[in-house]
Amino acid sequence: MYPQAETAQGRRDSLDPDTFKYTITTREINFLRRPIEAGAGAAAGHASRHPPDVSFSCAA
Amino acid sequence: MNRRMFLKVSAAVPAVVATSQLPGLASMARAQQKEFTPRPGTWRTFEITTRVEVLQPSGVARVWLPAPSVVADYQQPIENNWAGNAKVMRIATEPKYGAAMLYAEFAEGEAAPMVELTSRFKTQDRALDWSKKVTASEDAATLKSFTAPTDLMPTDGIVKETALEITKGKSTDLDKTKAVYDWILANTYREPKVRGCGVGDIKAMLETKNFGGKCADLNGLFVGLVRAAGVPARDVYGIRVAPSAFGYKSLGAGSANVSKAQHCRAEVFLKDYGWVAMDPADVAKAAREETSEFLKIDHPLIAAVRPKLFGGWEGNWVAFNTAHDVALPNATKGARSGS
Repeated sequence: MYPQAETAQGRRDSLDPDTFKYTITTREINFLRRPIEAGAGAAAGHASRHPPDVSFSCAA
Repeated sequence: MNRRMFLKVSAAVPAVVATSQLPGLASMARAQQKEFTPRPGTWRTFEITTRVEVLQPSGVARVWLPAPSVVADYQQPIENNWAGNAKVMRIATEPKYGAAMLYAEFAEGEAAPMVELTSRFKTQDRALDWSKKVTASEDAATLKSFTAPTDLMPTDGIVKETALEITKGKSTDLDKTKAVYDWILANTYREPKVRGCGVGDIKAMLETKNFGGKCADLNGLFVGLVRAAGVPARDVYGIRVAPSAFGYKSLGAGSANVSKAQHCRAEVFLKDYGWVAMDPADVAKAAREETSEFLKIDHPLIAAVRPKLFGGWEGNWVAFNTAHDVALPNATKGARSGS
């Protein structure tokens, strides 16, 4: 599954990360770090932790 | 992205690039050794971060980002963290296959929609010991589901006819699967010009005999033919997260940026072994892209990989899900996500 997005103009091209736009980065870690926190650049946002064994089903 | 996150990601890139250079430098030597021997037993922990900025937004913007949702003896998801300026951000689970994804919905008028998902997980190599049979069990409904056709993977008509022809005279599921694996490698090839992972329209591939493609095409055809032969099989959709430890540059992530490193593998359910790892598409990829030459399937470099990807794969990749034709929750535009 590729990242997907839509706006009023329609579905974005998920195979074109530069115009979508998205970036995916990876790194190997050998110890646990604190979870990412939302900062001043995302004033309206929030950060959450979500264990993978708990899920929510969307109604649609 | 706040400054702390920026610094964190920036610091991570040189470390990963540095480690990726080691297999690169060793590739010549390793290639001469013709070694490709994934072995389970060493777990590695990775983080994968997907950052989306919806450019030129209009109306309500919605985003869906895959999260690792396969829990198996080769992979353990640990946690998902997310941040952004969406009014809704939550993990949603696609009901049919259990595919997890972060769903983000932005307020109309949000000028710069942004969301970032970081998933942490452990993974290890797979390598089946064929001498150790087990009595594998799996839910009957699950096996039925993974023997059934999908929109792009019919199991009747030309798919069925081809599967029966390939597996003629083979009595066991293992023999049938091996026959299809060999047929895929004898008849298909990696086509680098195909966008993304390919569409996986296996009926069209068989009708046109255009057997060039990428993983969703080649492994999709493999899975479809195995299903049509009556054996449960499934595509496993994911992304490469690290270089190959065996120096095969075509079989691993080339850098810390894996925005175009999506890759699907395959699994077949065999009663004596359970779900068995398969990846004929990566054999074909190594043949096409490991060197500047298009190597034949019996070239020593490829001959080293071919038997190992029948029953195993390297743990430098993370599985997101096994979902076909994903119906994105709350979507109002476009078709279903192919995988």
